[in-house]
This record gives sequence, structure tokens and C-alpha cells, in this order.
Amino acid sequence: MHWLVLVGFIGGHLLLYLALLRHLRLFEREVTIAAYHGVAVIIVIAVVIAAFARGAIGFAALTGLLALQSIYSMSFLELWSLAEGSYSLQILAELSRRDSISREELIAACAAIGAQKTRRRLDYLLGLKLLTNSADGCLRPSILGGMIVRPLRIVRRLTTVQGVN
Amino acid sequence: MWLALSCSGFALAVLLHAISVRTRSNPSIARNFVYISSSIAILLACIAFWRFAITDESIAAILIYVALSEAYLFLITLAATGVSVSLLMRLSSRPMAEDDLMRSYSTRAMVERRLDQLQAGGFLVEAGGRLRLRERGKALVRAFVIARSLFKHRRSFDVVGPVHDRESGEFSRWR
Repeated sequence: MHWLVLVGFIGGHLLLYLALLRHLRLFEREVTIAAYHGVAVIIVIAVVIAAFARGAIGFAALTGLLALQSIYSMSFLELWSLAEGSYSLQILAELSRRDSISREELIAACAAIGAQKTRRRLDYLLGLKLLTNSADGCLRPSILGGMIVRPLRIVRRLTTVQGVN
Repeated sequence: MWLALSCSGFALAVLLHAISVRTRSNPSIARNFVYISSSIAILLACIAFWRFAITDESIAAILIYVALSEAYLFLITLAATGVSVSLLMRLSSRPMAEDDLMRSYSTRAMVERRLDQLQAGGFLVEAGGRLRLRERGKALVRAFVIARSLFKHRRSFDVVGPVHDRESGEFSRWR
């Protein structure tokens, strides 16, 4: 029963977005989309913990329900952000408009976007205080920035992936 | 027991993926993880239903495994393509002044790396010095045009042009 309740909640959450909210300009902003999912996650956590405390559901259902909500929100936000701003997709879109293009022409067309992106990301990281400007004039990750770097470094070591630059 | 099943399944997926990317040539590290984790998910589901039948425990075991795998896949793509992550890691290894950092970044390399990744993933092909979209690349572009329409992303999908001066949001800024 509790599984069906959460599936119904997720369905309603998605339906509300598709039928109404996506047409509002406010929901073009990622901060609004994040808040929309943040509120849903908080509601699910509160209801699930209350049900667990009352003995209505067990520990397995508690963790499973939270996992289901996180799968839905992660998938939605990932797809939303990919469709909104992926650099690789912009490159593919540029290619799709021409029958063929030389590597040099494509690099020339797309390199400016890379410079813009790097500048914006740097400002963004500074704005979030993930980077700090130290007394010697050098930028370095803040404590919070370091906490983000460490797990990603482990992932890079495990998977041998290399960064984009 | 059911929690140990999902955690050990996830650990096995990470381990097999780490071995796989080191022992054979992988066109796409992320796609390789999808194949490995999907195979383990099927095995895990069979074990969970055989051991616990259709109960909260078996469903929770599968869902937790899927959530962990999805989070790991997200981290792989972030570590591979995230510009913000790349900036953080570079400054973590070697702090430097803002101007030096911007000078050290090669926008050409950013595009070339992505072109190589897209080529390795079978989305485009280079022949006679010309790049062309393959059928898979065309399908991906079509899918994302639909996704952009679904999400009502009004920003143009053009690579060049003044519309790109508009700021994109927080999630996208990690890419």
C-alpha cells in the first residue's frame, strides 16, 4: 500500500509539473526546479519517518521509499540539466545543422562557448564560496570545495576518467 | 541481509567496473558502468525475490541498489565532463591566480576532448577530415530537442549567438 501511495505522489508531482508548472516562467529557473524537488523530498522524508515512528512501516520500507523518491528526483534533475546546458549536446546540435564540418571549423564555432562556460563556472564557484581568494592572490578550494573534490577524485581514480581540460 | 545484498551488489558493480576500464578498451566509461550495473541489478533482483519473495525487503534491496548506482553514474559523468569540477580539481592540485587559471585553460582542448568522447561513443564519425553525425548522434539530438520542449527550455540550442550570453542555472553550471 505504502509503495502505491509514493508512486501516486510521484505521479502527481510529475503530472503537476507537466500539465501546469512547466508553462510558468518561474519554472524555467533551476533554483525553482530544485526547490520544487527539495520540497517533495522533505514531504516524503517527514511522512515516511512519521509512519515508521508509528510502526506503520518497517525499516526496509522506510529506506526503500526514500530510495524511490531519490531515484525519481535525481533522474528528473539530471535530465533537466542535460537538456538545458550540456556542452556536448550543443556540439552535436551544431553538427546536426550541417551535412558535415571540418574539425577546425567546429572547434572555432564552439571554442567561444568553452571560454564563456569556464568564466561563468569560476564566478559561480566563487559565489558559492567553494573557492577562496587567499592572501597571496591565489585561488584555492574552500573547506566545502575540498569536501566536494575528495569523493570525485576517488571516482576518477576508480574509473580512470579524465576531466574535460 | 537485504541491505547487505544491495550494498554488496553496488560494491561489486564498482569493483567490476574499475577492473573492466583497466583491462580493456572502453569507448564509454559511463555506458560501461550502465551495462555492468544493469546485469548485476537483474541478478540482485532474482536473488532478492528468491530469498525474500515479493516483500518490502526485496523491493527495498532493489531500489537502494538502483539509487546507489544512479548516484555513482552521476558522479562519473560529473567527474568526466564537469567544468566546475575540473576547475576545483585543478586548483586543489595547484592553487593559482585567477588570470593564470584562465590563461591555462584551453577552450580548444575542451572541444577536442568532447569530440573525442562523442566519437568514441559512436555519436559522430570523422572521415576525410570532415565530421558527420552518425544515426545514434541524430537520435540523441532528436531526443534532447523533445526533452527541451518538454521542459520548456526557451534558450536557443544554437552553439553560437547572443542568446548564449544568458546565464544558465546551477545544475548546468557544473557541466
